[in-house]
Amino acid sequence: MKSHFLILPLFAAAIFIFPLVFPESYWITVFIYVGIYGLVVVGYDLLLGYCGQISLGHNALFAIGAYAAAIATTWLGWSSIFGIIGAICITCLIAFLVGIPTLRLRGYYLAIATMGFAFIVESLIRIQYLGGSSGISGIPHLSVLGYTFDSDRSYYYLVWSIVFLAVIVCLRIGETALGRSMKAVHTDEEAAECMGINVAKTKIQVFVFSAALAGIAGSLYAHYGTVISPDSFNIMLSVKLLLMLFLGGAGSIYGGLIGALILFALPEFLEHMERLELVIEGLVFMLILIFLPGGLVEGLNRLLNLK
Amino acid sequence: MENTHQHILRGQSISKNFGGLQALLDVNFEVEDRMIFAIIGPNGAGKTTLFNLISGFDRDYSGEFIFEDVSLSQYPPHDITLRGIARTFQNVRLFKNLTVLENVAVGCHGWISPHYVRAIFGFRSTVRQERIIKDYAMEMLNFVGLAEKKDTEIESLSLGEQKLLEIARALAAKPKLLLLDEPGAGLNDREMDNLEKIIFKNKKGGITQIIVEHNMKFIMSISDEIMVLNFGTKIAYGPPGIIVNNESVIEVYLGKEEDLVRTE
Repeated sequence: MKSHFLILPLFAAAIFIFPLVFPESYWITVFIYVGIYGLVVVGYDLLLGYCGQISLGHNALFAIGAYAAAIATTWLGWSSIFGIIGAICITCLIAFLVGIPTLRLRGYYLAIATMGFAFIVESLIRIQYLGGSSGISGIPHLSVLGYTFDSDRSYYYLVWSIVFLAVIVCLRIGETALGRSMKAVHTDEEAAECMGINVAKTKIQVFVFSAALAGIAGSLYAHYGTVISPDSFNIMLSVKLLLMLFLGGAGSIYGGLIGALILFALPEFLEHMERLELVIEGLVFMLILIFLPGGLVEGLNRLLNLK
Repeated sequence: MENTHQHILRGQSISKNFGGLQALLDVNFEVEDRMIFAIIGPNGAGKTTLFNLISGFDRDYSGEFIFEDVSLSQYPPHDITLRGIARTFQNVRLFKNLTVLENVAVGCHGWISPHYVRAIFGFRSTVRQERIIKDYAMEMLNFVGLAEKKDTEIESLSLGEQKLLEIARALAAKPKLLLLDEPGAGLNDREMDNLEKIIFKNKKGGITQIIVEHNMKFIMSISDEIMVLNFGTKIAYGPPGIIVNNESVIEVYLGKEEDLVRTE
């Protein structure tokens, strides 16, 4: 996957220069959300793209991260840093507990089991104690060591710094021994066992790791919106994560970011087309997946003649 | 490394029943250090089943395998590999989403034990680890003669090359005991000669090997000891000279002319 040496720095440069060139753009908000969801997909790529484990429960992990950060900072009055750490811990713990029974399953059964877990979480966040359908509001701005991220611009840079850090970490995991063992598990679990790979441990570890990223993303989401409600975390989010991953290119780590970009930027361009908007979006998705099954990353690679 | 165990692997009263079909019945055998031990028999005799039991694939059996004085039954497959047993598969199970070199690199997983903390925080040690893995994998590829193909996709390899790759991958795990499941099936004469060379090189390197094969001529020329299975029971046991004259063995193979001729 040498393409990431070229495309990634260019992409990073573009992202970091953008607010300097267009300081008041509405797109800054759009790109903040692209980054937040992109962060989830980056971890999700290791789980699904590399290791081949289909989770339809990452919307729930995202939700748990968001609610944990919200509760920590509003009810418990913790500082946002501890809120995020708490969010990561809870998301990882729940992912671990859910992962142990479900990761024995494969393919569709695993997908449905994780979906079941997602439904449980979706119902639980609707209870009155957690704010019911109105959710939790008044979430404070994120502040670290005295500095408060209360402007769109500062939050944009915060989110994207975390995103690119995550991409680098995930590339280091995916492009070394751990990543190879994930890919081996993806192709042939039994043969992988015979090579000394603890398949169960491999699956659970990547599941928990991707949950950590989802938890961080959830916290960032909560602090940006300052309000979170159950409706933002339903099954459609998991569908969108899948879309982002495959439109961008599964197994590339940064492909998910490109997918997130398409998924969020495209509707903005087509906004004035009203009913045609969804038709064209659907068409674009189908065309991408038919002609570029490896996603846009495959397209870029072919264009630039990279591996 | 000096090996102090006279018998690397002992199979004691191994029986396996597949819900009514007795695949193996009271099989006993002993494999000495550095031996080339062959298991032959007609199709369905239980040969691959035996491999599946030894490697821990299938843990539902009665009897015991003692590997270096330790019983294997308590260990899951990946632990058995860590203890020093590696295998190849009858129907070549390579990882198609990895290159040739990466497939062999996966074999190193056991003795490298990668973990997240090092991958995330230890930049230099990860680089060093990758270097060690890649170098060792290249050594294995050189050993089997596939070095030029290191970045090739699995699909572009011929069957003979795929089988060699499986051996390289198994060797990457630094095994003391290597289980080869029909390594010669589908190979031409030249490839069989190459395979024979590799098996002898392994022996010289201190590796004990158990080979399941159909090619009688091949087995007779390389084995130190042969165990003949038929319908899950041991019908003959001994060096090639004894086996080739054994009445029951001849009877079992009567009419199976193709087994006596080297496969093309």
